[in-house]
Amino acid sequence: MKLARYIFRKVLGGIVTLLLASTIAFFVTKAAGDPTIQMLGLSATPDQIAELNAQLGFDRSIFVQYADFISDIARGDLGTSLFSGVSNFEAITGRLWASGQLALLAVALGIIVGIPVGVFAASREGRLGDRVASSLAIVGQSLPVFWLGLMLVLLFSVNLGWLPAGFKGDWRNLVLPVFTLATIPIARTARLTRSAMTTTLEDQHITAARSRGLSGRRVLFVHGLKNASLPVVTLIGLQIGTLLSGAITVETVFAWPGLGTLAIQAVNNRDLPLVQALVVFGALAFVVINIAVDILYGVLDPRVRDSR
Amino acid sequence: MVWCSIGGIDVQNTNATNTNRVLTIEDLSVVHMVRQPNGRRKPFVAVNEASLHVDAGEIVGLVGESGSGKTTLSLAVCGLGKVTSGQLSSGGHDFSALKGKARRAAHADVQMVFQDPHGSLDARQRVGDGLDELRTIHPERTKRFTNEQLMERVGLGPEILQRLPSQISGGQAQRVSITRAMMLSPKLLVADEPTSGLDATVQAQILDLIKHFQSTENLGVLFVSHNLAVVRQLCDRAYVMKEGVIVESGNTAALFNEPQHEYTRRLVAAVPGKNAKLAKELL
Repeated sequence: MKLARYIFRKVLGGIVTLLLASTIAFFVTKAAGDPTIQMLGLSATPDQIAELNAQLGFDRSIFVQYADFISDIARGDLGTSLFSGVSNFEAITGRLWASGQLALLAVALGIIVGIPVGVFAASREGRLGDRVASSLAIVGQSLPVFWLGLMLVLLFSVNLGWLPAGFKGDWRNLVLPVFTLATIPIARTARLTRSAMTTTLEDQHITAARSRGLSGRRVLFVHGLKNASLPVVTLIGLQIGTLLSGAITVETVFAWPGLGTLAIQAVNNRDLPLVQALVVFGALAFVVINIAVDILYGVLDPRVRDSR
Repeated sequence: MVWCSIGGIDVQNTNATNTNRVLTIEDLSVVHMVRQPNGRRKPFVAVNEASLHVDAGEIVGLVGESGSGKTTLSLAVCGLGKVTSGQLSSGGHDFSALKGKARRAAHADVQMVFQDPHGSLDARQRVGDGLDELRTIHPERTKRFTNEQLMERVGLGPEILQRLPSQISGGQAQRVSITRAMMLSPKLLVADEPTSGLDATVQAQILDLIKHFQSTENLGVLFVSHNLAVVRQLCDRAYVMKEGVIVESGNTAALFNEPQHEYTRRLVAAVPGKNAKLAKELL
């Protein structure tokens, strides 16, 4: 019962977030200028522009348009693309799996590599292993992704010819984009795990666990990592959200047909409804993942569960 | 018995074999390298050639202000801190010579109770799960009592087993800590300020509990505290530590009635009369 109320509260908060994000998406894209001029070209007469505006409903008061936009979203209608005439919902779901594949694999690598590296660094705080791991993590986090992507293409596709340089295909097409995209989740996860672990390892219960004769590995992974896991889980959730709504740079470098390239096309085409729909979808992804993370908190930390 | 004098202080020569001895420290030094603001590392002597011993069945006090090296020494005794030089045998083990499984098994002989009762328990682990965890690690040593009996031994009800540390009081948490230490049947218990976070009534109960185990289990206790009044009431003998050096030692009553070292005199003088009286009443 407590849990149901907790989830209900989180969902309610999520709806408010979604409403705010939609509002911002609407007004910011409106402020970006008149899309009809872009669509019809510079030679269009004022009459043609007015006609198209009337057709698209852009001549109505902005508040009426806003109310329309929000009520459409509430009914699950994300509008229609000005450019292709396809429903935005279909455009997004059609590309979702391509981006989702990249995002999930990159975050999975972030977890599989980042957490052990962070734990390793924390267990050797201040020593050589920690310094090497921490330096690599900073390099990983600060390398420009587009540069890294291009360098990898140059090495593995152009020079060595081992892997394709882009486009969707079999698993070999995934290797370079996933690795490029994963550098940031790996580096961030490793750094946050390290800092959360170093704090936890100073706790008295860790000394107590050692004094009772628990093995170093058990102390690190059972008592250390479990207590340090909350910020790491939050970070992983946020990363899935960010990457799911489109890794624009990486998708562009590798000509990957995902939501990132869709967003770039939509902006270039001044396809305002599609841009708005992508923003709303991104917000939705964040909200859903955040709720999932909050529920996971309760699983990981009984204190959270009991305080609900 | 052979006695020698180091720095004007009489120290018992621990070469004399004593089968009941659960802790022997000889000329133990712990030196930390401390990073200075300019980035250079400078040696800091946390414990300086300390010698002390504890026999089975006695409670020995280790007194000093914070920063005097008491905690560094207690961690070394438990095989958790580093030892730069000197001899250390606790619970019959020389931890520096032990590795892996043997070392972990040896820990059972030297148990510790900490200052912060809640802090020394994993906040994510229910009390009963914590006891079960120790059973899987030391299966042979934990057969004596069931979890319910372990609770009963420290005056707690079985319902505590289902609780998380955040759901029990400080005094209850310290009892859980003590039962976790005692379930391994250690030879030596190092109690590092075990009552400083608790109110007076609970303090007295925890001290009673430690006394109880000392007498029924023939347990040697190294009682580390800055609280002279408590040490005076609880301990047979005591050592006074200042800036890493043991400056004075001896029978507790003598130590506090006729302190020889200037530092001990100041410590004794600093005990508020009311506090000492209260401690006496409670014990």
